[in-house]
This record gives sequence, C-alpha cells and structure tokens, in this order.
Amino acid sequence: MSQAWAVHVRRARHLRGLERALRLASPIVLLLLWEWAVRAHVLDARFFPAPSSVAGAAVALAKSGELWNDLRVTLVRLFLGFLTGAIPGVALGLAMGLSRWVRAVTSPLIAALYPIPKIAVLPLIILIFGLGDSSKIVIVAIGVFFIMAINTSAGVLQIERIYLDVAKAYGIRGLAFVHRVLLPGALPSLLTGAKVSLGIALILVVAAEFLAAKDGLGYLIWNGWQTLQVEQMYVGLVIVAVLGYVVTIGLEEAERTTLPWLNR
Amino acid sequence: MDREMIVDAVSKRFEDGTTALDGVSLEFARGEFAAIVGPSGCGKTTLLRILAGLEEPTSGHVELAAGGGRRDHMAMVFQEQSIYPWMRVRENVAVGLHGLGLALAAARAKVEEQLDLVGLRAFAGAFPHQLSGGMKQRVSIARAFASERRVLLMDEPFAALDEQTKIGLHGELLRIWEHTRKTVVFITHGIEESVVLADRVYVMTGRPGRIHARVDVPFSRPRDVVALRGDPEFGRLVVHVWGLLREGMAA
Repeated sequence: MSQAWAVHVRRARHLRGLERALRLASPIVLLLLWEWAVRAHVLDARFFPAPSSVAGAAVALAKSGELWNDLRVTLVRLFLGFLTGAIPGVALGLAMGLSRWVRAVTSPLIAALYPIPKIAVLPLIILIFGLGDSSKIVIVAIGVFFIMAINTSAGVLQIERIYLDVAKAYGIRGLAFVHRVLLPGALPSLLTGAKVSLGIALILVVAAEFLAAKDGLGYLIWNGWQTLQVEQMYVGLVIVAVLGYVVTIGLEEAERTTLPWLNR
Repeated sequence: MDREMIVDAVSKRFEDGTTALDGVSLEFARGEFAAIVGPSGCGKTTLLRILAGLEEPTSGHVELAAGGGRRDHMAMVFQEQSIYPWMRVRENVAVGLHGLGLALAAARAKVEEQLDLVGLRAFAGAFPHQLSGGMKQRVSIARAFASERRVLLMDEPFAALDEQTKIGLHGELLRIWEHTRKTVVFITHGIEESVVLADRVYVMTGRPGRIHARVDVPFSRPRDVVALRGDPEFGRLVVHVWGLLREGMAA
C-alpha cells in the first residue's frame, strides 16, 4: 500500500517536472526554429528579423536609454489610467450590486456604451484632452471603468444572502459593511475584472500611443514601422507581450499569497 | 419570572400569497431555553427571522422587555454555513462584538475567552475552509455569545452535522449557556434535540404555522446530554412531543 503510494507520488512528481520543462522548452524551441528559418532564408528577414537581431536592437535601444524611457512612460500611463478608471468603476459596481434602482438607471447605459470600441472615441478624447499624457490616461480609464463596474456589480450580486443577513443581524453598516463584507465577498469577481481590464488597458495604451504620442512603447512600435526599422518594432512587440505576461502572473501570485481563502 | 419577550399574534403572508405564520403568540421568560419544533415548511425559520429583525411581520408585533429595536438584542446562529470565508476564526468571532465599542485589548480578550469556551483557541488564525462543519458552527456560536446580546436565536444550527458531532455540540452548547443563562429560542425539527436542550418545547402545526402545544421539560440543570437519553421520562417526553407533532400536522 505505502509502496504503491510512494510509486504514485514519484510518478506524479516526475510528470510535474516534465510539464514544467515543456513549459520552458516550448518558447525556446520556437525561437530556435525561427532563428534557423531566417538564416536558411525560409523566412524573409525584412518582415521577420531573426531573434538574434531583435535582441541586438533591444540592447542598442536599452543602452541609448530610449527603451527605458518608453517603458516608463507607458507604465505610468497604464497605472494612472487603471486607477482613474478602476476606482469609480468599483464604486459604481458596488452601488449597482446593492441597489436595484441604481441598476435600473445605469445598466442600459452601460449596455449601450460598453461595446463601443474605445479606440473609436480616441479622436474625441484627443480633442478634449490634447496630445499629452492625459488623453492616454483617459482612454485607458474608460476601458477599465466599464469592466470593473460590470465585474464588481456581478460580484456583489453573487454574494450569498446569508452573508448579508449576518451583517444585518450584527449591525455591520456603512463603511465597515463595504470593506469587511461587500468588497471581500465580491473579490473573486473583482480580481477577474482587474486581470481582464489590465490586459485591455495595455492594448488601449499601446494603440493610443500609435496615433498620438511622441514616446511610449506604442510609439516605439509605430516609429519602427514608419522608419522601416523592423527590429525596433519587434522589440516593442516583445516588451508589450512580456508586460502582459508579468502583469497576469503577478496578479495571480498576489492573489495566492494575500488571499489564501480564495483557493478553497 | 421576568419576561424577556412577547410575540403577539404574529402573522406573515408572502408576496406570492402563501401564509407562513398565522397568529403566533408566545411568551419567553428571561434566561429560559425554549425550543420550537415543527414539520418542515411550517414557517419556524420565518418566525425566527422575524424575531431577529431580519423580516417584518405582516401583522402582530414582537415586544421586548428591554425596549429598543429587535436587532440590538438578538444574536443569531444560522442553519447554514454563515461565518465569513474571508475572515480568520478570530475575526469571525469579533463580528459579534461589532458596535459594542470595545477597546482593541478588551475585544481581543473577549474573543480569546469565547474561543476557549468553544475549544477553538488553537484555530484562532485558521480560515473557515480549514475547519470541519462542526467547528464552523462552534465559531458561529462563539460569535453569537461574544455579542453579549440578551437573546440567542438558533435556527437548526446542528441540522447539517452528523449524529456524534451533534451530541457533542449539545453538551458544549449547554455548558456555555450555563455560564451566561441567556434567553434562547432554538428552532429544530429534531424532537430529541429539543427535549435534551430546552426548558420548554413549543410544537407548531404545518403551514400555515400556528402554535399547537407547549410542553414543559422537567429535567434539572446542569444536564448530562448523554445520560439524559437513558432516563425513562426522556423517552416518554419524546413520544409525547411526537404525538403532538402528528396531531399538529393533521390539524
């Protein structure tokens, strides 16, 4: 019995190790194939520069400081835009989840406004907020706002009634009710909203920087294309991809360590 | 004996037209342990929610000797899992202290004391998902006792537990209750449970719920919840309540 168990544990551990190795290996193998294909002239280096030359361009951009500047600028816009959208979004979501009247007033508006591609209103935003940072922050905030409002309201609505009854029975009201019952109860849905909206925010900030910016990762990509520095364009794309990955993994990790009760 | 609470001709009709309670009148003495038994769907949970101030009666009223709102005096132990999964055991117990205005040190001491009483001190830092069903209900009971409210309302708190855990908790509940002698209204569909725990057992009819009969339980306190079951008087009372319950369902 215990021997069979030991064998089972060993096999499970072995499989987990294999899985981890595959996870690491698959992108590396892809990069190696790509490198080989360019050198063998299977791929056109003008459109698909080899990973080694993209890396070279990245090093050059990093040395000149341009890369760090663009990264910093984009991150600041992303962060400020996220906060500007998430705080009112969560507040509206809480109100919607709590009151059917607020829901009745706002849900048709949200249903109508939410599907409008945010990029389509960028010209308007630029007209109002100009070409500086604030137009990018606003466009990100708009995208984040809807997702956080919708997810928070859904999160509040799915809190089990009994938890609201307990709060009522023990006189937990007002701010204490919001931060001890409502927010934690809606948290799983809220975190999903944060993950989704950070991804959307990244798309929006890069897209807005394409159209109206003199710096940032979107500008780096767009400028690379316009000046036919294809490697530079790829550097921008890779950084954006890595950013998206880091944000998602970071949020999941934070969720695991700070909210142990979520992984029941 | 001092009166704690009067329930005067309380009726409850729901929006869909069903009548859950029809003219329920009860009187609870201070420090008395009352049990209400009835068939499922007889409105006993609705009655308890009205006592707790979570719902309002359609007609009739509930009067408290202490005056003031019902919610200020009632501590509720719910049937289902009702402790917050996002709070540690100690924070869940502290929910009962909400609004008492205790200083931090006093609140902490109070929580420790309650955790000792229910034997969960070692689990103060645990989250509910790490506890068994019986332990979760003990947290819920500790929360209710911590609140220092005068009346304890219990809505089939042990219904979801296995027989051994249930009998263990009967003993614990009575032991903690002896310390405080709060007024208790205990809803159950377990006849033995009601006779083991209560001073007085009220039997309800099927829907719409009315009070069919009242049975006084003569056993002295403190009680031994296991030995009691061997008492011939205990068996006689259980059968008697059974008979009343059957009568009530037919009525």
